[in-house]
Amino acid sequence: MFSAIYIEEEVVNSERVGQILSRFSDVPHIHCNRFGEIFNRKAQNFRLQKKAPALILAKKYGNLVLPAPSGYGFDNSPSYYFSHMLNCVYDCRYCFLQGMYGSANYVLFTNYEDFETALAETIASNDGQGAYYSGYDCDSLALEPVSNFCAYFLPVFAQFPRAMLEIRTKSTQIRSLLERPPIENCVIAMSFTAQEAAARWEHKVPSISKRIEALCKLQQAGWKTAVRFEPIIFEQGFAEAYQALFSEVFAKLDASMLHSVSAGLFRMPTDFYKRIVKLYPDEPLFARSTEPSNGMISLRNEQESEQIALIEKQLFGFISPQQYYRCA
Amino acid sequence: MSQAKLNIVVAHSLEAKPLIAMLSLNKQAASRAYPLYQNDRGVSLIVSGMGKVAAAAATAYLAARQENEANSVQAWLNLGIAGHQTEELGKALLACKISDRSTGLSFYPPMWLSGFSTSAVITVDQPALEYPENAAYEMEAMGFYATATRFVTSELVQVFKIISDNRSNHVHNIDLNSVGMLISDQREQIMEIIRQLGQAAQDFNRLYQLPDEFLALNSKCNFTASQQVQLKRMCQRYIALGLQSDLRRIIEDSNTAAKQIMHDLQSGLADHV
Repeated sequence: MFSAIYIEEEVVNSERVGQILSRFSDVPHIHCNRFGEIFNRKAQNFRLQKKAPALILAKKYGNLVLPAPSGYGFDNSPSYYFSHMLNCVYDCRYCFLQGMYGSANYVLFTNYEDFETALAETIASNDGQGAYYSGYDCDSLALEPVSNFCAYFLPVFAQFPRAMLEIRTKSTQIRSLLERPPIENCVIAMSFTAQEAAARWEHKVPSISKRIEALCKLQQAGWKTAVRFEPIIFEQGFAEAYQALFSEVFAKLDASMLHSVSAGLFRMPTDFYKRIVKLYPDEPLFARSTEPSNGMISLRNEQESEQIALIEKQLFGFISPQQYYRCA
Repeated sequence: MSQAKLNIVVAHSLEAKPLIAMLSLNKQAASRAYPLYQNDRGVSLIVSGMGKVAAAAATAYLAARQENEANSVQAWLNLGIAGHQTEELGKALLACKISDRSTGLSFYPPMWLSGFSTSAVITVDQPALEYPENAAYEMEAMGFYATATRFVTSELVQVFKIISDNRSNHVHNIDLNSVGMLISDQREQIMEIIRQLGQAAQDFNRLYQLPDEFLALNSKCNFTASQQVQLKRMCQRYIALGLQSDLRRIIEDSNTAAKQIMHDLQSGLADHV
C-alpha cells in the first residue's frame, strides 16, 4: 500500500502512530525531523511518485481549521475546512492536488486531539454552528482503515449538533460508518462524473455502481447523504452521458432523502494548472483551450452557460431545486 | 539492455573494476579530469575519488559533459562499500535516508525501487572507526545526492551500498583485494537496480522529451526564447490531441517566418476546445 513510511520525531512515540506502524511492518520505517524535509523538497516529480507513494506521519502546527474557499459548500453560514491528510489515494487526472503539492506522498497529521481543540474553538466562536468540510486536500474515507478518521471525529461532532460536518469522498470504505449509529449533523457527500469521464480520468477510483451502492447502504443506515456531480467536463454527448448517470444514481438512491446535490465545473488556480501541464504534457484534457479569469483556469467553452443549464434541467427531473446548489 | 541512460558514480577504482567487467564498459580517453567508462547501452561510470567533495565534483563534471548531449536525462546511482553497525559483510542496501554527519543535513531518496533491503546512510568526512547508529557509514553519498538532484528529479537518483566492515570486522581490517569480490557477489542485485533505474529514466524521457516536431521547427527558423516556450507547448498539444499529422503538415508547408508558423499552429488548435 505504501512504498515507505516516514515518521516525524515529534510523533514517533504516539499510540496512534504505533498502531499504524504495526500494520505495516514490511515497509521501511524512516525517521525525519519535519515532514517538509520529504514533502516540500524541490526536484520531485508528482507523476512518478504517484506510482509508489509513501506515507508520512506528522504533526500539524497551526491553521488546523481554515475558512472554506468561497462557493465551496452548501451552506450560507460560516464555512470551514480541516485537513487531517494531504493528498489522495486516488489518481484523478483533473484533480488540483497534482498542481498544489510537489510530492504525491500522503501526509497524515496524527495530532487529532489538536484538530479537535481547534474545531471546538471555531465552533464556539460561531455560536455552535457552521459548516465544516473534510476532504478538501484528501479523500477522508479512502484511508479510513489506516487513519481511523471517522472513529475519532464523528464523536467530536456529535458533541456539537448544530455544527455540520461534510465528509467528501469517492471511497466505498464505509464500514466504520455502518458500525456506529448515524449522527444528524454529518453528511457523507459522494462525488461522481459521467461514466466515460470516470473511465478516462478517475484512476484507482471505485466504480460508479460501487459508489452508488455504498451511498445506498449509508442512506439505509440512516446517514445523511449528498451527491456532488463534479467536475463536469463538457464533451460530445455530455447530455446523454449525464442523463444516464442521473438515471443510474437516482434509480438506487432515495432522492427525497438527500441532504443536497451539487454540480460544479472543471476549474482550478492558474498556478496549479501550469504545474499540472508540465507534469502531464501528453494529457488530452490539458491540451484543450483554456480561459483564465481571476486567477483561475477553466476550459474554453462558449456554450458553457447553456450546457450547465441543460444539466441542471435534467437533474431537476430527479431532485427538487431546493436540494441543489451550483458549486462555484 | 536497451538504452539505459544511467550514470554510476563510484569512489575508488577497486569498486569500479567489477562494474566495468559486469557492464562491458570502455574507458573514455577524452575524459581527463576523471576516469570515465561507458558502454554502448547508455551506461556511464565515473571514478570520483574519496569523500563527498570529490563525489560532488565528479557528479557535476559528468552531468556537465552530458548536458548538451541529447534531448534526455540520465538516472544516477552511487554505488560503493560502507561500514555498518549490525549488517553482515556483503549485504547490499539501498539508501532510504542520507545524512551528513558534519552538517546534520538529510535527504530522503524516494523509495520506489522494489526488492531491495534498505538502510539509512551516514556520510562522514573521515573513515568511521565506530558505528554509533544503526546505519551504513561511508564518505560520498551526500555529495553525490545533493549534486545529482540538481540535474534530475530525485526519483532518478539512488544510492546503493555494500557492507565491507562492521563491529566484528573493523574498517582497518578491510582486505582491499576483497572489495571487488564484495561487489561482484552482488551482481544480481546490481543488475536489477540498474535495470529498474534505467527503465525509469527511459520512461521519464518518453514522457518529457521535447517532441521531434519541436526540434524540426526550431531548426527551421529563429524563434525567440518566449516563442520557443509557446512552440514546445503547442507541439505537445497537437500530439496530445492526436493531431500529429496536422502538425507535420504545418511543418512541411511552413516557410521560415517564426510569426507565421506560430500563427498557423495557433489557428490549427483554435477549433479544439
